[in-house]
Amino acid sequence: MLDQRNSTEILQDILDIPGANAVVVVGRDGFVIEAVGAMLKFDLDTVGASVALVLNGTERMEQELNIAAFQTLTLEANDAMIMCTPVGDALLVILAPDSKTLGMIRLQVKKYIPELAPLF
Amino acid sequence: MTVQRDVVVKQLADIQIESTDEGLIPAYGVLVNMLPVAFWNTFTERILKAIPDERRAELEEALVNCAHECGYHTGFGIINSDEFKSVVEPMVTEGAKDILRGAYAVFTAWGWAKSGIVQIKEGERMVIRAVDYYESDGQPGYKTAFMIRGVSAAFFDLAYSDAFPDGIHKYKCEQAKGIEVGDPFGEFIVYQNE
Repeated sequence: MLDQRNSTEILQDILDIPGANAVVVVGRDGFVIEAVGAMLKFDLDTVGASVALVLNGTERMEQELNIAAFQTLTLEANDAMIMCTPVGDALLVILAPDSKTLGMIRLQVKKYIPELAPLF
Repeated sequence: MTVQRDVVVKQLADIQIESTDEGLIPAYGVLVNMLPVAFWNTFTERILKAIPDERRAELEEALVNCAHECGYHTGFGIINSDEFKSVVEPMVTEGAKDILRGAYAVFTAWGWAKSGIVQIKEGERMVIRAVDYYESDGQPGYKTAFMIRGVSAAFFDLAYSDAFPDGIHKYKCEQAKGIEVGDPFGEFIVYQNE
């Protein structure tokens, strides 16, 4: 049986996916639990607070529309791509400079979720 | 909707507080004071140096217990204070989990430790991380976050043990990582006392 890896090791693997600039784990309250990579123009605390704000809005939408909890939330802008995926009771946030590699990031990230989720 | 820590921190930071003639600050349902970090850290350092090695573990437990008892009573005061009720409670939708999220936001707003919850297994276990805390000042070569350990165990007591004041010491907390020993953050694990 393999030893369970810690969150830092898993986040480093996710950071190796082509296109990913930074990988952040944010608590539902906006607390930045862990981050790896280059934040570039982003302030970490602001990323955490913004993600919590969006999460609250999304959860309200799910309730209003009576739909299941979201699995992936992607924001595509001209100069940034932000992808959020629930991991346990937290959110995995991937920051990229654009959405050119979104498909690859989405595909690759999926395999890390089962390993990461029990840690949060 | 859950507690948003940035909102809590900003609103609490805006509250104006004044000390009394005795230097005590009545706020958040308790009496607090403002002393330099160096005062507390020097106290810890000197008392640890003064104790013989064979009694060191006993002293460390005593320091943690000071924080545990203080955190239990102060924490109860905080979560029942007008400030907490007006700032945090409107965002509470997940019961004890959200109260704990709010408590760590207060902990951060007060400047004790920029800390938050990594994981909660309700009534069983909680993992906390702190990326900046006053007890990590200096490089003593050993883990020194006795205050965070005691207060974290106390918060979990308040959330999941018997009702105040009968629920203290159901839980304890160990420090797994520390900035003061070269780790990138402090990590604390709360679990049930045997």
